[in-house]
Amino acid sequence: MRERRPKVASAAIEEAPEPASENGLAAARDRRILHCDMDCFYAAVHMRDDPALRGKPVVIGGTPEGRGVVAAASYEVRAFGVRSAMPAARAKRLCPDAVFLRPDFGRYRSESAQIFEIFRQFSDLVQPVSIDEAYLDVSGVWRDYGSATELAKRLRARILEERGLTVSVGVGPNRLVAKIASDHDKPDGLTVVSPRRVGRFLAPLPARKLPGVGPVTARKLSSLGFETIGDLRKETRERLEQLLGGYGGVLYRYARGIDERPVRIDRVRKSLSSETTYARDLATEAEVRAEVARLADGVAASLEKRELSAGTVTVKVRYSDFETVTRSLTLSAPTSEASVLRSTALVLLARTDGGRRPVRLLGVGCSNFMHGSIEQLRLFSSGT
Amino acid sequence: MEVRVKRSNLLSELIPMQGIVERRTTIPVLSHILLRAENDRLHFASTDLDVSLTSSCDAEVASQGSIAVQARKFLEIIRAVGAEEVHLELKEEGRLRIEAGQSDFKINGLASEDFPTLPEVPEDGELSIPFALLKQAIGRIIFAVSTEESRFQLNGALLKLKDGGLELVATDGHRLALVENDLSGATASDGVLVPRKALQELQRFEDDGDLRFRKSEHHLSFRLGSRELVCRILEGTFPDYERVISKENDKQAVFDKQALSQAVQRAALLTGDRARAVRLELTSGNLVITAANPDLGEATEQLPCEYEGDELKIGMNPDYLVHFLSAVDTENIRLDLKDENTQCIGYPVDGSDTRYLCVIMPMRI
Repeated sequence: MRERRPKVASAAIEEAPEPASENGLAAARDRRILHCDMDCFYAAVHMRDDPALRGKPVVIGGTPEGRGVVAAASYEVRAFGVRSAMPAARAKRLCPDAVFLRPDFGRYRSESAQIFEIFRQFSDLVQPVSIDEAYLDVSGVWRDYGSATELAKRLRARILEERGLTVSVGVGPNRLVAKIASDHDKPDGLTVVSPRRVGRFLAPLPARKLPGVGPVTARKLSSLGFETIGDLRKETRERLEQLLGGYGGVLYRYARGIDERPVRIDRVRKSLSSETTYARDLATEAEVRAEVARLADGVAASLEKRELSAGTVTVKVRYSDFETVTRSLTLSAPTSEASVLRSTALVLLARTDGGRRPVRLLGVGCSNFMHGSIEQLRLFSSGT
Repeated sequence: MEVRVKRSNLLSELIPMQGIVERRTTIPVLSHILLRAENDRLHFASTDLDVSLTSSCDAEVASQGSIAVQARKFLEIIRAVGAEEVHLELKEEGRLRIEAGQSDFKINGLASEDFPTLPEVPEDGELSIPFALLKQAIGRIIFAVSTEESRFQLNGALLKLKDGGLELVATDGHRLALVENDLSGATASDGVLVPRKALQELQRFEDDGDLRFRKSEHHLSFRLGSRELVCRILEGTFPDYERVISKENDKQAVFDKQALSQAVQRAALLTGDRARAVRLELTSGNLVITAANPDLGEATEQLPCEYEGDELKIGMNPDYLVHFLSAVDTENIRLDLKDENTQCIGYPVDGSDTRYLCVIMPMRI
């Protein structure tokens, strides 16, 4: 490995190739994508509407007495280490003074609709990622504003004026760069990365900023000496593929800021899942059950955000010997409720050897979606 | 063991046993039934460890004894042989010889000691329930029992004795069915959860006599004639169901049951597999049922009804409505409604004085 490195060091000075300069397409050089991500959306809506909450640590989610999880946390409470998907009871221990509020999804939805209305006044190509996050392809329109930076400034100003909320915006030549940029100066930030600056912008950032690099991949990369995106750019595609399989090739392109995924308005999601590979195999049934419940809660939160109900729940278990099994169950009525997803996932887990055999990966997924607008109501609010 | 038994008697005991034995089991003996010859009777037992069934029939017992045989195979053989009488004999090697007419079979069995010991429910506190009444009550609620394994506490019906009455309630969290009958001799006691399988098997009993009901700490026994079904009480807390039987539903509509059922089923032809929802729109004297599916098209059904309230629109799973309508035996039914987010409650109209209702939670369309 070590002797191979200097051979490819020349790659380090290679800037992100501009498709425009390569194939002479002016349209590609003009490509500008915005990633707009509302700051701490759920909490911000409550804090805007109730001045008494401003500056306070606010947690949206289940009650700290119950088994619910944190759906959103204000920046004030994040300072205490509170994070999304953490049990509400734990959040309470970390920040005893936090104000706990039950989520009001109806309110978030109508707020979201108004924000997207503003997005659409800047571009017809708006791809919602979730209730509070979207990509805007402004390639054809940014010149009307003088620059993409000016367009982004106006968009942020309008959302603040009209909705009283802040949004962090990243501007880049593609979705990958826009997404990383929006996170660069969050909250209330604007980061613009021009096509020429892509290489310099990405190089010093940690590798985990790239989509697909989770904690396990990041640790693996780190152990191989790759800490930053710049480090990854020094490696050949063949070597990355050898280390990471098919994903290596994707990473090779991402590290160079290359991403040709279009902004799509008609994206139809077919399934949604949450998986974790554990650094240390899970050995006890209690551990495995707790993890499956946590993953199910995460999936429920994603469904809620996307206003979807799922008809089918799937659990994936990879044992320490890499044997992988999946178990699925179709529900009598599609749901996005955490309690239903959790108990169904646990029933499915019981049909595997998870807990009796050591487990290295767990996943909870769902599919068979129905858009949340048709929903079977429940008789008993407890989720029974 | 050596016994001579009428083939018809044997068949009528073997058939109900099949519902109990597990088809796919990891414990081989659970796919078997236990045969035991004793005192001029041939006794039968089957179990899945949660629900068990025992019965017996007349037989000429030459020598006592017992053996467990594969339930399905044994039934197939008895069904296939032509003779009116069957001769069963236990051979030394743990095999059962079956002789009937020209047929002579020897099938492998398992020692009776391998068969699980079945729970016994003490005879004190026995209550007599007319079987026809119980069977009808089960038929009126069983459709609402949840089939989702993750909701184990809803995988059965609540059986609750009241002073002079018997109540059965089932819910899957989206709809609920409740029936209450007069029952002399009953005294109020805590409800018990009867697993779905036990309810299904009880429905298959055939007799018009009285069923004797007993309960112990963990089990229930239902005995009818020579047949006894014993089941483990389902553990879990049944939801507070009286709370969802809303008394504030001020809009009442009365329908011809048959006409409503047919109209709903026709409209439901254009609902998708997943989003099973029809929209009901009530205006004075009229109901419009619509269904729409982007892939298929739209359906509209009109139906006259007795209704005088304000206009009301409500979405509903057509299956839930049809299940209830099929369980009602009166000509007319009444739906009590409030708004599109409140549960609808269906009642039979002009029936007996039995309390019967079905609560259906709407769908938000």
